Amino acid sequence: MSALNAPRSLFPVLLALAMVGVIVWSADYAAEARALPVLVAWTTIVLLALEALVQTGTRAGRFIERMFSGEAKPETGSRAAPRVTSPGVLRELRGIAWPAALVAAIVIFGILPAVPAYVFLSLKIAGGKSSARAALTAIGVTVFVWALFEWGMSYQLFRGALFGDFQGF
Amino acid sequence: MIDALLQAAAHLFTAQALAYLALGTAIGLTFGAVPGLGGTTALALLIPLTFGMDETAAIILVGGIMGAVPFGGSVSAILLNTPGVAPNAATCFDGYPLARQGKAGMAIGAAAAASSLGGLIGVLAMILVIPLAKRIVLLFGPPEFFMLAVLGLSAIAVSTGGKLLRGLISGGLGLILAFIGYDDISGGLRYTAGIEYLWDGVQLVPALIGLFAIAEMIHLSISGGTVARTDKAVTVSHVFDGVKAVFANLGTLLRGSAIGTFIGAVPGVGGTVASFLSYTLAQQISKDPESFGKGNIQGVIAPEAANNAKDGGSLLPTLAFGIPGSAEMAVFLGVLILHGLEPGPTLLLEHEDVIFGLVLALSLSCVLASAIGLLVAGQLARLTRTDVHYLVPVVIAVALVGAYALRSSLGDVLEALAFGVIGYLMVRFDYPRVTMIIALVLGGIAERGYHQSLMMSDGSFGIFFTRPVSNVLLALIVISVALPGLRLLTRTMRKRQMEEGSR
Repeated sequence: MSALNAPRSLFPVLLALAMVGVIVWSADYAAEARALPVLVAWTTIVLLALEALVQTGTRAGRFIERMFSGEAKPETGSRAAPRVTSPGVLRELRGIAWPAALVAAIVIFGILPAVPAYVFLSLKIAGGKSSARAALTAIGVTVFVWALFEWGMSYQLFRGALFGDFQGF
Repeated sequence: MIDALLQAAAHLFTAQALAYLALGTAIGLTFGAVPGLGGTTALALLIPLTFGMDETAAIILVGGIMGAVPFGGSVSAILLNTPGVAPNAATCFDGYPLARQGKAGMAIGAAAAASSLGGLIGVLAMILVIPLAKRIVLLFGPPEFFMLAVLGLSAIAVSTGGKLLRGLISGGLGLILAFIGYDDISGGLRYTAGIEYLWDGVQLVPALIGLFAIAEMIHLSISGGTVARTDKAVTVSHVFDGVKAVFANLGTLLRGSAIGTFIGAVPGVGGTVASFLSYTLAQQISKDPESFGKGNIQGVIAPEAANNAKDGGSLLPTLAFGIPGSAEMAVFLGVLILHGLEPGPTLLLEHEDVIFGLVLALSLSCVLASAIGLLVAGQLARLTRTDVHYLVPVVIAVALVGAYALRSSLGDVLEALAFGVIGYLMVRFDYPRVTMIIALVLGGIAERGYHQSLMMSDGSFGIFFTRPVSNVLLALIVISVALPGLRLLTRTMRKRQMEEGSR
C-alpha cells in the first residue's frame, strides 16, 4: 500500500468502526427504535468490508471492483485518481480551517464583525490580494449580507457571545 | 386540473412573481455557467432566503433557477469547452468545434432554442402524466413506500458513474444520520449524545448547504486557480442562424425531448445520461455520423433538448412520491418541506395549484433563460474565469450566514460546517454525496414505511413480498443493484464469443 493510498484505505476502516459504534450504542434503545438502524449499520459494514478489500488491490479486490462498476477496467477504486489528487495534508487542513475560523468568530464576535474580518484575512493571507482589494471586497460582502438579511428580510443576525447574545446552540 | 392551472397562472403573472422569476433565472444562468457551482449549490444557498417568502414566490424563484441552470452551463461548454454542469459535457463535442469555426453565436442560438423548446416539451409531458400519476400513487401503501425509498437509493447509487459500492455506503451513512433524534415509533430519543440541538434530528437545509456549497468551496480553495482555467477570448454573433437550425432539425429536437422526459422520470438516472443518450442517438441515426464531433449543429440540439426536458420528468417522482431523483431535486424537496409542503400523494392530490405553479415557472424560466442568455452569453463566459480566492470567502460567508438566518440557530451554522467537512472528505475519497443527501431525505419515509408495514402484518416480513406493486419494486431494486455485474457478464461473454469467432 503506497503512502498516497494509505488514507484512502483507512477511510472505510474508520467508517466501519463508526458503524460498530452505532450498533453498540443501539443496545440502549427499544427493539423497535433500533431495528432499522442496526440493519442499516450491519449492511453498511458489509459494504465497507468489500470496499476495504477493493482498496487492497488484490485479485479478489479487483473482482469486486469490476462487479460493482460493471467495467472490465474500472476507473474508480484503488488505482483511480481521487478528485483531489494528494493536495497535501497541511493545504487541506488550511482549507478546512478557514470556514472553521469563521464559525468560531461568528460565535464569539457575531456575524457582522466576523464576516468582514474573515473575507479580508482570507483574501490577504490565502489569496495574496492587496490590502485595498481585500478591504473593498470585505466591505462589499458585509454590506450585501446586512442589506439582504437584516434590512431586506428583517432577520436579526447574531451579535456574538462577547456581546451577550449567546443562548446556547 | 384546468382550474388549478389557471390559479397557478394567476399567481405567476404578477409583477412581483415575474421579478422573482427573472431573479431566479439570472442566478441560475450565473451558477450554471460557472463550473463547480451548478444548480444544487445555487438552490442550497438560496433556501434560507426563501424562508421569508410565501410558498408561491419561493417556488417561482426556485423554478427560475432550475430552468436556467442547464442553458447557463451550455454557454461555457460551447465557448470555453468547459461544461458548467455535468449534463452539458455532451454539448462540448460539437458546440466547441462550432465556436472554433467562428460559429459560436449559431451554436448558442441553437442551444437556447433547443433548451427552451425541450424544457417546454418536458413540462407539457409532466402536465399530461399528472392524472395517471394520481391513480398510480393511490396503489401505494406503507410496504410500497418502503420499497420505493430503497429503490430510490439503489437507483441513485447505480447512477454514480461506476461508484455503486461507495454510493451504497454513502447511502447507508446518510440513513444512519437520518435516524438521529426523536423516534416516532418508540417515542424516545436516539443517537443524540445528550446534545439538545439533535433532538429534532439532523436538519436538512444546513446539511444541504454544507454538503454542496461549503464542501465545494473547500475543494476549490484547496485546488486554487480560476474555475475554468482558460483565458480564451469569446465573441458571439449570428445567434438567429442557430434558432433557425433548431426548426430545421425538429426531429432531433423532439427525440431529444422525449429521451430527456423519460430519463428524467427515472430516479437517479439524471441529465448526464439523458444528454449523452440523446447525442448518441442523434449521431447513430444521422445520414452524416462522421460530422459529429467536428461541429454538427444536431450535436448541440440533441443534448440540450434532452437536458432541459428532463426537469419536467424528474418532478414526477419528487412531487408524487417524495422520492428525489437527483441532488438538485433533493434540495428542491428541502424548499417544499421548509414551506410546509410535504411531497408525496397529499401534495399531488390536494395542492395541484402548487405543482402547476412550479411547472409554469419552469416553463417560463426556460424561455426567459434562453432570451437573457443570448444577450449576456459573452459576460457569462467571462464569469468562469473568476479567481477562486474571491469566490470562496464570499460563498462561504453567505452560506453560513444563510444557515444561521433560517432559524436563528448557531447549531445550524455548526451543522453546515460539519457537513461541509464531511462533504469535502467524500469528494477527497471519491464517495458520491448525492446518495447521502437522498438517504437523509428518504430515511424518515423508509422507517415509517417499514414499521407501519410490520404493524399491518403483525410483524410478518411477508407483507413486503406478497403485494404486486411491492414485488415489482423489489424486482427493480434487485435489477438496479445487479445491473453493473450483469453488464460486466454480458461484455465478458460477448468478448469471448468474438475471440472464438476470430479463431
